[in-house]
Amino acid sequence: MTQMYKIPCAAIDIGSNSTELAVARCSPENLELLKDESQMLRTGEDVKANGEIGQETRARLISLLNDYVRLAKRRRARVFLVVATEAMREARNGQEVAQEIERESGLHVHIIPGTLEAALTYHGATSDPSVPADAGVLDVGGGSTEVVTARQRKITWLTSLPIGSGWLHDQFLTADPPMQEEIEEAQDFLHRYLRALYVPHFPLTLMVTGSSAKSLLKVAQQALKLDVESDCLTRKALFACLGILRTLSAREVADRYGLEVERASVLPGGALILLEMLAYLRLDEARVSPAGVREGMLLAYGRFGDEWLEHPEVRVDEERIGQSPPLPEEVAHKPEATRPFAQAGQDELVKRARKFVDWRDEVLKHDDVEAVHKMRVASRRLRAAMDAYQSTCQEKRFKRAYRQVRQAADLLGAARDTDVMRLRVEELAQRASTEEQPGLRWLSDRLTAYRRQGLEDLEAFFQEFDANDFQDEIEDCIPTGGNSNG
Amino acid sequence: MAKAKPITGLDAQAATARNAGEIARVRLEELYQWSDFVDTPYAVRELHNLRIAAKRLRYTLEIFAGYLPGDCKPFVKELEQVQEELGELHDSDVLIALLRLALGSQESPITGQSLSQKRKQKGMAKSFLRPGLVAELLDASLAPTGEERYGLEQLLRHLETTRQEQYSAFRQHWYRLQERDFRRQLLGALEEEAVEVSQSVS
Repeated sequence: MTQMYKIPCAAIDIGSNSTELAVARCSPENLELLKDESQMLRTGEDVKANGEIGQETRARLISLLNDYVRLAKRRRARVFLVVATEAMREARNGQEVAQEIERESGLHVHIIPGTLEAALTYHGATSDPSVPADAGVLDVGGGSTEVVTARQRKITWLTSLPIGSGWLHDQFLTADPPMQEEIEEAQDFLHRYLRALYVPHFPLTLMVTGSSAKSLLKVAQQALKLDVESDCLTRKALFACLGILRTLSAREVADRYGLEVERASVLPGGALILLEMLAYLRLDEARVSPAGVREGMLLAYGRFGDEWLEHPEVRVDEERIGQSPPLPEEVAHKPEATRPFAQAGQDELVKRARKFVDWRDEVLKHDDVEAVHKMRVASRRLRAAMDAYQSTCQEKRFKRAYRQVRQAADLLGAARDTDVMRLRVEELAQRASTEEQPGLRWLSDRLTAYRRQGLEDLEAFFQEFDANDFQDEIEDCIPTGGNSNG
Repeated sequence: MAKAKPITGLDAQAATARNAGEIARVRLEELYQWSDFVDTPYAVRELHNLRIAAKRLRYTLEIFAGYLPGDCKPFVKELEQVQEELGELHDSDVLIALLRLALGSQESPITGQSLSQKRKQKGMAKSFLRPGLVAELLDASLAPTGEERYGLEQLLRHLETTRQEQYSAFRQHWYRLQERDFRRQLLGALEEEAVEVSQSVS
C-alpha cells in the first residue's frame, strides 16, 4: 500500500480566487510533489457582480487549464482530477462552463459541494505526520471558508461557509487600501454571522490553509522578522498584518512582499476571516499548512482510487455535516446608485442604530476603554447618517432620537477624551524623571476621579435608555416614501 | 461646533447617488469655511471646527460609499489624516489649558507668569473645557503641592513643544492637499456620480 504509484497524477482546483495545479506521485500516505502552479483569475468576482462567469473569464480559464494540461503531461501525468468550488457552485452558468471546459480541454470538472471541499482539504492539510491527530482545519478560500473538526484523524464534523477572502473584498473592502469604515463593517458582519454558527467541539490545534493564509504567513515573516521555518500564525501577527494592509495599497503590498497584486487586494479579507475565526474558536494561533484541497484530492486518489470522491471519508455522512448560517439579506445585494434616497435611508439608519446600541453592554462592563471609543464612533456615524437623511424624516421622531444620540455622544466623549489624556500622561510618566513623577501622578489621579464620575453619568443614562424603543423610533423616523419636508 | 447644517432641496424619491453627491458637496463647502484659520496657529476653536467639518465630510463619504463613484474613496484617507492631525492638536490644546488652569492658582516659579495672565488664559480655556473636569482640577483641597507643580510645569513645557510640532505637521499636510487642489479634485470625483446615475437611468 505504501509503495508510491509510478504514474503521476494531476489535481486542479478551480477556486473563486485562484485556479491551481499540483502534479504528484501519490500513495495512500504520501505525496511526491512534482509541479505546483497557481494563478489568480478571480472567477468569483464575476459571479458576485453578475451571477455568472463572463465570457472573458471563461476564455482565460480555459486557456489556463490548457496550459496546466500541457505542464502536467510534460510531468507524465495520465490521471487528471479536477474540482470546482464556490464560484462555479454559485454561478448560474456553472454547469455550462464545466461542459465548455470538457469540450475545449478534455478535462472533466466535478463541481463539488462545500462539504466535499472541506473533507478533501482536511485530508490535504493534515497529511503531514507532525499534525496532531485531533487538529481541526480551516480553509479560507476566495468564495467560501471550510471548517473541519476531527478526532484521531477521523472527521467528526464539518461545514462550508459561503464567505471567503474575495467575497469579503467584493462585498465590503473595495477601497485600495481598505478604509477603516469598510474594515469595521466587515468585522461587524463576520462577528454577527459567526454568532449563528454552531461548532460542536472546538479544536485545540488548528491548521489553516488556502492561499490567503499562506500569503499572510509570508507577509508576517517578512514584516515582523519572524522565523521563516515556523508555520505558526498568531492573532497578534495577524493584527499587525492587517495594520500593514490597511496602510499600503495592493500594489505596494505586492511589491514589498512578493505577491500578485490580485492576491494582495483580497488579503485584508483573508486576514479578517482568520482573525474572527480564531476569536470564535478561542485560539490565539494556528499553524499554516502548505497543503490543501489539491493534496487532499491526490491523497484520496492514492487511497481510494476511482472512488476518490465517493468514499465515506471524503463524502461524509449527513450526521457529520454542520449547518452553515444563511447570509443576511443586507449583504446579499449591493447598493444601487439609483435606489430611492428614502429607502436607502431607512436601511442605513436602522443599521447605524443597531451598531450603536450593540456597544452598550460592553461599555457598561467598564473593563475595556476601547468599547467606549467604539461606541462613541458609532454614535458619531449614526449622527452623520441622521444629518444626511434628516430631510426625509418625520420631524418629531427625528428630534427625539437625535437628542438621545447627542446625549450619549456627549457622555461617551467625556469618558473617551479623559481616557486619551490619562493614557498620554501614563505614557509620559514612563519616560519622566523621578522629580517629575509626583506631578504626573497628581494629574493622573484627577483624571481618574473625573473619569469615574463620567462613568457613573454614563451608567445612569443607559439605565434610562430603552434600546428597543430607540431602535423603533429610528426605524419609524423615515415614513415609507420619505417625508416631504426636504 | 454647531449641529451640521440641514441640507434642503433633497428629493426623497430621487436616486441616492444624486442626493449623496449633493450632501458631500455641502459638507465640502463647510470644511473650506474654516480654512482661513489654518495659518492662525492658536485659533484653537476654529481649528477644532475645521476638524469637525473634516470628520463630517469623511463620514458622509463613508456612509454613501456604496452609492458614490469609487474615485471618492482615496479622499477618505486624506480626510482621516487631517482629522487625526487636528485631533491630536486639540488633545494637546485641552491638556495645555487644563495644566495652565491647575498651575494658575499659584505663582509659577518656572514660567514666572503672573496670576492675572493666568486668569485671562483661564477664561479663554474654560470655553472649550468640560466644566466637571475644570472643577476637579481646581478643587482647592486637592491643589498640587510644590513637588507636584514641578512635574506639571515640565509636562506643560513638553506639551507646548509637541503642540508646535503637531501644528506644523498638520499645516504642511494641509498645504500639500491644496497644492494638488483637493477641493476641485473631490468635486470632480463627485461629478462622476451625476454621469453614472443618468447613464443607469437611461
